[in-house]
Amino acid sequence: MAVETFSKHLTLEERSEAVLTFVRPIVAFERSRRYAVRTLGLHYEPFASLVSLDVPGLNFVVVPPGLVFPDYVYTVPERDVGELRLTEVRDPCEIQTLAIVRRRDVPSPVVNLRAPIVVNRALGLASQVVLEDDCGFGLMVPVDAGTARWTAERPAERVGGHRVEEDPSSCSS
Amino acid sequence: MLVLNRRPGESIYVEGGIDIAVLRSTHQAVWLRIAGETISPAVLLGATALSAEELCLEVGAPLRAWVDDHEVRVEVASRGQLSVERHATFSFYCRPGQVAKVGEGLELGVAPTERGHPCVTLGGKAIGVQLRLALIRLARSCVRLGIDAPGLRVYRRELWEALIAANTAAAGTDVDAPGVDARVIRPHGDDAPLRAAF
Repeated sequence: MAVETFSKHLTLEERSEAVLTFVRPIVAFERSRRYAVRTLGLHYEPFASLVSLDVPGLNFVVVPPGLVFPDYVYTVPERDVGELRLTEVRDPCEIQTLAIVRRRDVPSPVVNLRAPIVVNRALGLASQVVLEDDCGFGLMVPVDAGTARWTAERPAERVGGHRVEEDPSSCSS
Repeated sequence: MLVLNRRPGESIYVEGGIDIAVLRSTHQAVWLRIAGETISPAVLLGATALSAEELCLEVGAPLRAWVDDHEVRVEVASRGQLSVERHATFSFYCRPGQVAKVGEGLELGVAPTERGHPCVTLGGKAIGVQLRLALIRLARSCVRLGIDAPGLRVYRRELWEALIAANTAAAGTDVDAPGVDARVIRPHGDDAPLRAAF
């Protein structure tokens, strides 16, 4: 069963630091499984820091994508629903989403909407979920793009989108 | 089962470091290069669909082959050896349930059909799990493959590499440093706190 989630808010008010255990490590950082979500202070909201507890110095800037892109809605693939035990979650607010922000080597900050971090807050589990090809989201969407959707009218969102067409009609039989 | 279209030259990445590249294809056969940290040297595999239940498997660059009543075993040559330079192959017919041991710990075989499509299996200690590769549609320009990898993620190679590049570029060590410039991560570049923008 796929779970549709629409993350609007990262609730960190109750705790200044939330510890997450990744059921599957962030791609390219297999040595780190445990991360802490730390606020960067009121001045930086809604951005937060995802700090590794296993690899000193490793961290990411993250943001709840629903706050930046109101039209960001996606479906969690079945395999991840099971690993994150999302079917056990009764309150949809316990499912949250974080998107990794990249600031280096880009003209303006970009957000990875193709592979968001899905969090089961109830159990403290998380995983970087790679969305299906037809999701329409890119790996590098400018924060100020205005919409999460990858469309022909927004060539800036094509940068690094790496969207690969899965067109069966392109196969000649 | 994940279904992917791949053109010759394109690859599939299976979590754990296994790379399955499509080298060439026709309307009836496909040639793959199976590589990985635990698969050395890389194995060249050809699969020709004779029927839904029977495949002709070809192993490229054989050095030695043993065939007896119980098993087929092929030792694969490394680069620079004559078998590689002459593009030699070792072919054998395979039915569901039959496997051949190839190289160091790789087992190739045929599985029962997946919705009528012939299925190649890749397993053994070199891979750790049994991968099923369904040959859904074969053509010269493109092959449509179904991949079943229990417990492992499967990606298009280019997506996997892009994901690594994106995560690596995003990883940093400076966000907690005192005096970080808020404007660097501020979407609109103004001086107002971000919370006001939302």
